[in-house]
Amino acid sequence: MRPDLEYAYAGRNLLDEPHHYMYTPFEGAAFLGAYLDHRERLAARDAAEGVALDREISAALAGEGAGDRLAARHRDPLILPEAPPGRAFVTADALDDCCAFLTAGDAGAAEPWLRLLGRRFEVTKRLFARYGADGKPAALDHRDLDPYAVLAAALLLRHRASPSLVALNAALKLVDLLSSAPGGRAGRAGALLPAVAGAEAAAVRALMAEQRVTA
Amino acid sequence: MTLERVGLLAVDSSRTRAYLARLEPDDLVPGYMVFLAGAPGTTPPTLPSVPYFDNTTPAVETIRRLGVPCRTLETLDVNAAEVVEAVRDAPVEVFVYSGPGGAILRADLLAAGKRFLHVHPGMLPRYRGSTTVYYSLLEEGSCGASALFLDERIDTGPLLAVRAYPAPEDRSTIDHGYDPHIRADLLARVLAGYRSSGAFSTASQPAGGETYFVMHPVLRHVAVLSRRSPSPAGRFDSTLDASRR
Repeated sequence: MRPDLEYAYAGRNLLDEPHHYMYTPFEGAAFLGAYLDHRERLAARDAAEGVALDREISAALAGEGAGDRLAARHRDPLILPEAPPGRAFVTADALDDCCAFLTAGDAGAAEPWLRLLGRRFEVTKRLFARYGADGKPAALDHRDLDPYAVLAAALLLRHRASPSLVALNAALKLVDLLSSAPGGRAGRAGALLPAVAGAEAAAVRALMAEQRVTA
Repeated sequence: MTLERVGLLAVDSSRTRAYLARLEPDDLVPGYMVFLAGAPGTTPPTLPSVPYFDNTTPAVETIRRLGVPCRTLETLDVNAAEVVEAVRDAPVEVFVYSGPGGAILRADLLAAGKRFLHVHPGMLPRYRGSTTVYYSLLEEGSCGASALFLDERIDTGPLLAVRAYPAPEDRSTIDHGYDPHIRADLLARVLAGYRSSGAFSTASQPAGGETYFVMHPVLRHVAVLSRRSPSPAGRFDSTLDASRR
């Protein structure tokens, strides 16, 4: 039974008004129940099966009818395995390369890019369309939701391969943003959101079990 | 008795109140203070009562009672020009830093001719950045604190001391209670050593470590509600977190 508590961290459009998560209140175990309810509504079913969810993420990344797109991208990447910094890059290209390498089991090449983009998002709560060789935004457009969804997917694939609180922490904030923004249910972001939300909730459930925490 | 060459740069916060409460009985109170009071009419924050120290008496009242020379500034911006000037003019060599949470000291303040002694709530170099007390609770079931001199980057300056602390009995009051409590304890140990030797002994930080970002409330709740036994060797990945040594 879940107490009547609403999950409040996606209650406004975080693309317009980011949440900085400083000194958030402690609301007891009921808060975790409210969080799981929120994510399970996004995932449209109970998100307990992590392995199946990995396949869902991969399928959503590849897109319907293009099952070999990730494998092709792994064979012919745009940026990776080159490590940042050192060149300007298009965010979407770097993220697609990261997912291609992650789904091919080549997490090492994606690691420095996930660190860079995860850090950029944590600091600014934005993902800009392009970054310069110095790691700073080279284009001020940050309203395309697809890169946020793909970064969340990549971080969760990364977390599945080897648990990382850094990756899971950023993924939680990305899913908050995606579920709060009006465009988050459309396009590629919308296609990814159910699988990403499910994978994220499964990761949190696993952590709760390890820590002997019940909602 | 006060430490004549040591100052305190502070806002009114649980950390500052913990520092004053812990240092006074050991005669380790800084001999000069720069206190950021905010705009005229700003009232001291109402902070929750905690079991470790007096967190309800405003810092300004404690400072007044102690009789320590204090320059009060009408700002909460630690990098404001008047703060830089007050620090530069202060008759001390080192400031204990207890400024606004999350503030990063800019170059002109760092170049004001003083060193800034900061106590970070995490074991360095492994746990850099924000809310590290919660990350270490999740990873290891324990806490830690590190005293360092600040430099231009986050938690990378030379180390004065690193100390492990057990997890608190009540994890729901960490922000205003246990976190400032363990910082105050390590600060008192460092200042006691300084009083004995007349100098601060530092060591460069080893390579490695990870900079953590503000913990999401979901993970924070898991950390607070955790009933897992402490583990000396964390089990989270060492590559992205770069945290295993």
